[in-house]
Amino acid sequence: MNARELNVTPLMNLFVAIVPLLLLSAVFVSVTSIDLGSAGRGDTPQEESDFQLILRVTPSAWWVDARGETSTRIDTRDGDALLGILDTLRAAHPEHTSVLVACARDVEYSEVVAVLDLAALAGFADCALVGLSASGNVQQGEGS
Amino acid sequence: MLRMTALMDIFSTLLLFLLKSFVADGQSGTVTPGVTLPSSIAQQSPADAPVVAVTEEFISLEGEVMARSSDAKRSEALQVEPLYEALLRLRAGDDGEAGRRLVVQGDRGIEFRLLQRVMYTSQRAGFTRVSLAVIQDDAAGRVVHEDTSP
Repeated sequence: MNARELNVTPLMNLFVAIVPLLLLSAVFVSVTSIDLGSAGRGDTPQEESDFQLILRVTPSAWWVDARGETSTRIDTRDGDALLGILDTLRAAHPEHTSVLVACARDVEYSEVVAVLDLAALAGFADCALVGLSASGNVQQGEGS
Repeated sequence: MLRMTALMDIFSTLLLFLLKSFVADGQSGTVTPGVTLPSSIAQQSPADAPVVAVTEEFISLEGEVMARSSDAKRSEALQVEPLYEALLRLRAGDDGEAGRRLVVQGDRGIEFRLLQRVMYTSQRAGFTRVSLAVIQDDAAGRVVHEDTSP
């Protein structure tokens, strides 16, 4: 019986060598990416509509500016409130998918990504990043 | 002789699983050392494009340090000269749409002014399709509502 059994020792040696090697090199976090769109560069057909959505991100507060309509202040890190407003705006303008995210210079990068996430969650797939000057004006053409 | 069949089963399964994740990730998932990416709900896999890494210490292109972050932050100009020149060299002779892609790996703790300088510089150099590399985390910052995700 024993004589007929396969000799698996060389295969085991191989496995013992390969498995730790692959385990060490394996990446257990997956890297993804956020594509910054073309909003604000003036080459999207959506420019025809009067409606433009600008999210201003400052260290003290987030602002949602719907051009020609409203400007709303939201406390920093209150993601639910921002998502609520964005959802309402999205429902009111179903054809509009672009948003301009204007960030102050001293805002942390992780907060920028959080705001981009919330915009994507609300269905605004086309996000562009621009800078916000010290006086609070959107600097067109700087950033993406 | 020892009965090895059960152990062999485990090893075969583990080997296949590890090989699969190894092949699927490839090079595009490699994060530049020194960078802690922010978490995001984004699901898109990163483009196969040149990587600019930005941390509190340095700005690098494809692993090669281009400028010190403290210098870039202090300067009034938005354009980071060494990075601009390296990007122009990279861009030379490639007018296709794919050649306009660039992946920015920013450390989660950097200030936006640093990112702004890098993005301004890359746009001036002709890289107009910039992606931000992030770590995928479905629970990033808040609970994800599946029904509202695009």
